[in-house]
Amino acid sequence: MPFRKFSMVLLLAAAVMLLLPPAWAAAQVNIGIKTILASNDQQYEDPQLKGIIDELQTVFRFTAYRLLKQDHLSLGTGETGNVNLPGGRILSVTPTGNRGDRTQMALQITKQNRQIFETHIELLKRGTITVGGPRHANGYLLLNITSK
Amino acid sequence: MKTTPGNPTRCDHEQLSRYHDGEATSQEIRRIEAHLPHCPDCRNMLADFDRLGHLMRSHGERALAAADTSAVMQRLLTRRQQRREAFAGWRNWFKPARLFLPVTVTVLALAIYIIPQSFKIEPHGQAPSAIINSFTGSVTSVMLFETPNTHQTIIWFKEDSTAKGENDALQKI
Repeated sequence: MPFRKFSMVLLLAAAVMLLLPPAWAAAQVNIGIKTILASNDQQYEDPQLKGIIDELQTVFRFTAYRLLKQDHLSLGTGETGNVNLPGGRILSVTPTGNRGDRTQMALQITKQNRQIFETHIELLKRGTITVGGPRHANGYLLLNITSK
Repeated sequence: MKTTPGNPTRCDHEQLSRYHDGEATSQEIRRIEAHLPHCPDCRNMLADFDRLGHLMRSHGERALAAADTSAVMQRLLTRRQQRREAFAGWRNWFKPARLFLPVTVTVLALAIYIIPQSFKIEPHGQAPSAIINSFTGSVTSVMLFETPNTHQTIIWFKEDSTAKGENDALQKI
């Protein structure tokens, strides 16, 4: 009976998909990067950063938060995406794999071909990490990186 | 049990019965066939067995011929048909279910697998948003924070401004 054969093929496919690693899930990692300038020179809260500022304010005491730029990367495992940052810096993001519900990735900031720092993290899917510290203008850069 | 003149073997009616029924061993068959030509009693008994068997077979056949087997068969068929009709509703209900069961299982399996992948509802709990496995670079200090509400991980580092080229870069800013 064709229907029975079709059903058996479906069942077999489901079993294989359940046993094998999720190939399509690991195919692309979507990453959003917000470059924020945090400073104390004035009182300003960028409307585009609503929600983020409240969270940052639990740790920082800056009075001004301004969104400088927003970038999106869609990367495969082992693929590196670069984002130009103010001050001639470049942020490189490389997803290296998955572990449970976390995406493993390497973050690297370079300036004039010199590595400022490199970190290997495991970021929750739909989780956010903020990397801050580079000085810019009269404040500091905060890189709000979200795995989508 | 007895022996007859000229026949050294004894009469054994049980063996004779088995011989008649075809159940005697080859050794018993040889013994009985050597005994029979010399024993009229056993020959008579064997003939009696034959007659008795024939009688029983003929009686059985007559009884079978006399029985109304077609009526019995008809009753059986009728009863079977009634039972089939009684369960017809259930069978019709189960037929599509039986066909769609593998598909349903497959769809459910795929749904269980795909939905958490696509719409990850994470049991974040108190877990930090990011785990820092390593950190290297030209920095003078590094601090790690975790926000109290959403457990968002924050890395704060201070660039090493004494590194080569750093002062030049700072001048350009």
